[in-house]
Amino acid sequence: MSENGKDAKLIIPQVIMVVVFLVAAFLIAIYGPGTAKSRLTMTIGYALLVLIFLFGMVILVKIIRGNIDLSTLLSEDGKASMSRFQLLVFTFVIALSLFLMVVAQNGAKFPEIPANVLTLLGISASTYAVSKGIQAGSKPDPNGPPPTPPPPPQRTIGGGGV
Amino acid sequence: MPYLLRAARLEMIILLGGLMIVVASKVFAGGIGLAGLLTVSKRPGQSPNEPAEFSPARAQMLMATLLAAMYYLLQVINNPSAASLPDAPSTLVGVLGGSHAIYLGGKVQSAWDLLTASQNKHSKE
Repeated sequence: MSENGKDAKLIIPQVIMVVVFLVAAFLIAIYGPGTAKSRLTMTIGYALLVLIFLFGMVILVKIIRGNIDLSTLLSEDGKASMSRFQLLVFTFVIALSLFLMVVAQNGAKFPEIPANVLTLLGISASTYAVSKGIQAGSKPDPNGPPPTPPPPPQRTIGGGGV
Repeated sequence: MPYLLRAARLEMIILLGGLMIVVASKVFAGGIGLAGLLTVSKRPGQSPNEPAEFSPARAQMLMATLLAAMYYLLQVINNPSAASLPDAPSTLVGVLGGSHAIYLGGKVQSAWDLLTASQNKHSKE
């Protein structure tokens, strides 16, 4: 199927989603409980929620279907990179920790992040950056330095004469 | 408002959990390659048929990373309702920093070897 055909097929569900979304927002804004201000707050809140969910789902589905290729997420020059791997592990650990705490606290407040945790993340990220720098610096020039010209022939004084 | 909060929490669980599951499953199923994670790059003179060398610097960094990650996650799981993320002890930061320094030292060494070999090759030509 051509690229245009695929795009045309995707437009219909997108239009349906936008229409459903607008109708739901309209119903909440008109018939929802509370004052006009609270209804407006609810409408904006739900709208943002749906928007973020749709963006996230599109990315997730594309990753699952292989449209977003993650096969080289940990690769560097054809082999897996330890610096990328540790950065991935730390990112997931801190994200999961934050998420667990926000859920446990019932969303009351965003937890504070201690300085040592930031240092830990800094070490992890700077290792990746330094490793990239070393790798870029160590790549030899494929053409190499230009060959040095041969020295000019030496003239011998009095040589070669009759 | 409680419905909105509940919906936001559910949404984050689906999106974050989904992303983590997808990445982890791709790592385990081989969709994200881990080949060569614990081996060093081949030296310039090495033949392509020779097996890649095991790298102790990478192995120690893998262990330090996984241990630090597990230690931190367990701390969070034990007390998830604290007001701030659990503080990482200075010892842990020091150990992790040292481990990363060893890894980077090994990388600098192999990069230096590669550059020297390349310069020697060009000077012979």
